[in-house]
Amino acid sequence: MTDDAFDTLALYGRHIPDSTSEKAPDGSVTITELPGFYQVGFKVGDAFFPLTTFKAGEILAAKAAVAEAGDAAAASSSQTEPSVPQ
Amino acid sequence: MPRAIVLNTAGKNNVTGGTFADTLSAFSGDTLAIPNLQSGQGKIMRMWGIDSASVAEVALTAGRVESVHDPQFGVRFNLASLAQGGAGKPAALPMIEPPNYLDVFTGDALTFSVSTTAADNVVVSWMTEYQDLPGVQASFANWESVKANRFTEIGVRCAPVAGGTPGSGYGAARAANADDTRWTGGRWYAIIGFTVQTPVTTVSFKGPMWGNFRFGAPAGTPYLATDNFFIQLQQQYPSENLIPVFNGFDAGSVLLEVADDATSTSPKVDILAVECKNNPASS
Repeated sequence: MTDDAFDTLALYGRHIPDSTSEKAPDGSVTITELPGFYQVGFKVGDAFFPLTTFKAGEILAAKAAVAEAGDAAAASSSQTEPSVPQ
Repeated sequence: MPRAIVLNTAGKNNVTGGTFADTLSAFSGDTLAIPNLQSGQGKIMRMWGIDSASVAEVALTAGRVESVHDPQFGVRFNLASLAQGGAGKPAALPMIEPPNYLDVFTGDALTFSVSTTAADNVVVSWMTEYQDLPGVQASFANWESVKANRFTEIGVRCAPVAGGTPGSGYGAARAANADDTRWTGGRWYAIIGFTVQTPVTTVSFKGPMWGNFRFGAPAGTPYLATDNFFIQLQQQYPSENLIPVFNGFDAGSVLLEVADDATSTSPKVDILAVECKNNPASS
């Protein structure tokens, strides 16, 4: 048995969405996106190997909070930075 | 004697954390109070719970000495929420399992205090049997009667979604015929269990044929052999009728709801039912 030594082995995250559908009395169908699942794993070439899968609600909320904080910081810095002379 | 099997759930979203620092609240439509019983007594037949991200301990107290003797910490239950694959994986862990049970008495109220980590979500569900609950004539059968009336069997998809704020309530109710309409009016269906694609804390069934009270089951990883959950429950209490029965005409009134420690989980329930030509709950 030999061990594989990876020089670079990055972690990847994959969102696996889910959805639910509601049928109205008039027959129309509304599809609602759900958090679904999140997989964390690594790649060898293009092949993805999941290490773990978990329910995605918490990580999607955390990503949204980080993105919102980033947007707020960007907006704040754009308001406070002096304009660049043309 | 009107008899009922009632499922209740309590929880808390985003707990404060600390030693028994949080108290669980009943979900909407559920209660921590024991109703006014003609016999004065009921029994909690099963209880299960989960913490979303950490190990936890739940202390159950009640006012009556013959229910829970000690008023400070009562009956303490550990939740090994990091087992079975880690945080977020188990969805439900056993707290009270047959043949153990907990007596409860008219006018009492349960209190769940939790020791855990800040920002977690905690959910606890329990199923109580009332031998004599006024105003209820719930439709439950035993396995022998179901077998005697058996015509065939069916598995029907229903896809309820858990609440968007875990620990705070069930998701939207979904009718048993919303996703799959193959119930036949006039035939009687004994729900023997169900299967799920994703573990969740609690799957609730509710309908007028069960007194408009919930009953249900855990669907966490320790319980995933739920395909004959209600048969097994009845066999653990041989003298009791514990297999829920409804008529196919009423499928639209059978409502499924899901509670979980994670946001908007969709377990995609396949209900397993024995189809009977006659009502097994009345024979």
